[in-house]
Amino acid sequence: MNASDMLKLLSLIAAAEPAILGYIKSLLESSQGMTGEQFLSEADGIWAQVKSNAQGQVQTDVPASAPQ
Amino acid sequence: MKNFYYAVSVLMVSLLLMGFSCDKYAKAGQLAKDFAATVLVAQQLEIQAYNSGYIQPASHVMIQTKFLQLADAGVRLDQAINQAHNAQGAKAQMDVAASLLRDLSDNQITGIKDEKTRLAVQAAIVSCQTILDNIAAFAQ
Repeated sequence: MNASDMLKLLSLIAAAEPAILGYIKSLLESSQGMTGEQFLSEADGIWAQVKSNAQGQVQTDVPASAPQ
Repeated sequence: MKNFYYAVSVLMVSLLLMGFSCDKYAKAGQLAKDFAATVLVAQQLEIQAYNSGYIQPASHVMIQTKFLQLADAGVRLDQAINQAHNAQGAKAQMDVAASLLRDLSDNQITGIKDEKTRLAVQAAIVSCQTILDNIAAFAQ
């Protein structure tokens, strides 16, 4: 059962007893967020930025110290 | 009605425990993203310090070369987590990233003559190491 299934089940139960379950449902909703794949996809985007920055810095400085 | 509350409570606790413990993939991915973001901040800090004249060109190039290697290691770390769907299968890549961070901290940034700048960059690298340690601890 994934977080989405759990939320559906919680919604059914919460419809009967909303006062008891509201805070638990909100906890699950806040932890649901993104999937592992989405996090890693964003991480890869950041690494591409780090790589691009580094390449830019190294290429900018190497010609300055290279023989003319 | 009391039995209903009891049953619902047990169900809720069970679901909560399952929800928080089963998605190791998402947690490992979140930590991997935090790691990448913190490395980016450390890199930007170093570039800014270089542009302000606090770091010598030779040191700057060596440090940025390490960030380049770290970016490649980070992508491989993400791939390893993605393949294993948790952090346990990514131990080798974590070791590579940790080794690069150690080299940055122990060797490369010692070339920064300005003490405040060196300490600031060191602090940023320590933050990166801390998050990497958290990924490793999460993989246990």
